Amino acid sequence: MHDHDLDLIAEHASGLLTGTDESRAAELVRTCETCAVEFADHTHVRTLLASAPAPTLSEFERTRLRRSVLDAVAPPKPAGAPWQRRFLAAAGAVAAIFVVVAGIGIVGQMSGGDDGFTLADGGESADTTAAAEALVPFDQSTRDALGEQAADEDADLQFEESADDAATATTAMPQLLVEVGEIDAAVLDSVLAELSAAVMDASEPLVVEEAVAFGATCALAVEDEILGLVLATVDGVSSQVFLTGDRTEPTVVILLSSDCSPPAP
Amino acid sequence: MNEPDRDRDLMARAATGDRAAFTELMDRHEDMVFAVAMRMMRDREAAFDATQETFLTLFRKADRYSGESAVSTWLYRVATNTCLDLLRKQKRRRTEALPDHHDQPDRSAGEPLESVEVRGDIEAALSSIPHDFRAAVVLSDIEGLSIAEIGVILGVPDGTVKSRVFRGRRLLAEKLGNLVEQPGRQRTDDA
Repeated sequence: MHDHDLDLIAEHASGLLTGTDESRAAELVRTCETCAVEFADHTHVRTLLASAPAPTLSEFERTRLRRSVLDAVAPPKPAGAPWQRRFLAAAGAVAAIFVVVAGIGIVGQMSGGDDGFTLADGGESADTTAAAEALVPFDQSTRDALGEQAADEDADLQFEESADDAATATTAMPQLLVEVGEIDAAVLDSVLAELSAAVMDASEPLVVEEAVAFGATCALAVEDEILGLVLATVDGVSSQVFLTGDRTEPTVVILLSSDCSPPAP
Repeated sequence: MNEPDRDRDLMARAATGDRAAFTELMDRHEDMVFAVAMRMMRDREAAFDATQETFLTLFRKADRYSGESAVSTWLYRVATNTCLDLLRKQKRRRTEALPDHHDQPDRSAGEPLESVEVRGDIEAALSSIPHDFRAAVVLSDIEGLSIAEIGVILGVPDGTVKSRVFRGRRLLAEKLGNLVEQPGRQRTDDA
């Protein structure tokens, strides 16, 4: 009986030996049954492990991971009103967030009125009546002013109570989704007002998926629960207007283009 | 610029708070980190948590990265230590048993059923061996790292790495012995 140097055999099976050590180990494998079994065990396990498919993140997990990590390492929020803080944080992270106060066309299912918008499914260009063309940060006073302007608009909104149909394979939409026809900024405000009311009046919990994956950077911009979403086309750029914040005061609105780029002025 | 140099460059930028660089680092390594975490933790949610913690550590300690070892080695180290910490905490809580909802084999990925079942057996066997052995075996035989690299990652001498890998493999051989028939598996005390 010889002394089995099993670690030597294991090293041999691992390809760690050279020269005389390797020759000695190879000889032991040939002549010693215990050594041969040891060699076979190590080789067998190595082969099995090396051939095992690697677990991978699903796309949802990948988005969730990005969002959770990037949110956690986000710089401290600057002082200011809640909506301002959110807007600034988003702008700092993305540098691509604009809210349009004029020249807005919105694509969707809204029935047309006499305010110059047309239905979008024909792909026709917007005939907006908005005079201004510039993109400017969306502040509360502007919204208030637009709200007054829109007071007479009769936006016949269609709310969807379930996100299931709208969801893509990897993207969950908020439960309140409204798609509207091309309108101007004033009507947008009334849309948002109705959306806000629907959010506040909802009797069922508005379960919104944590990750709304419009790309990692866009997801960054939405810090809070997404309460509602308006799909829009802003100057020809497909965009989303998120209604976020506290359900008791869903006043924060962030507009993002679908590819995280700012809508073209 | 080769891959390790690109990683170093990204780390240097991440250390200054460059989020784009950090995001690219995540892009490049998140699958590797998650794969190691899954092998270590087995439970998918725990592996996700470990992956998340690894990248948070990466961001917070990026300025401490010296550049001597590859970024991937540093990440392996953080990921492995994070998993070992989590496993020790689990053990302290006496929840060492398999999680109630540990992952079932994912049969939707188009793999042959055989392969999925083998993977499940391998994962079960891995989860049954001591954590330190598991880490060494995963890094050696799945991730393909050298003994020296594993020594750096685990912070132990090469001899200890070899010992853990070999002992881990022997335990796995017992568990996996009937997975694929091996000639001469019956060990005898020959002369």
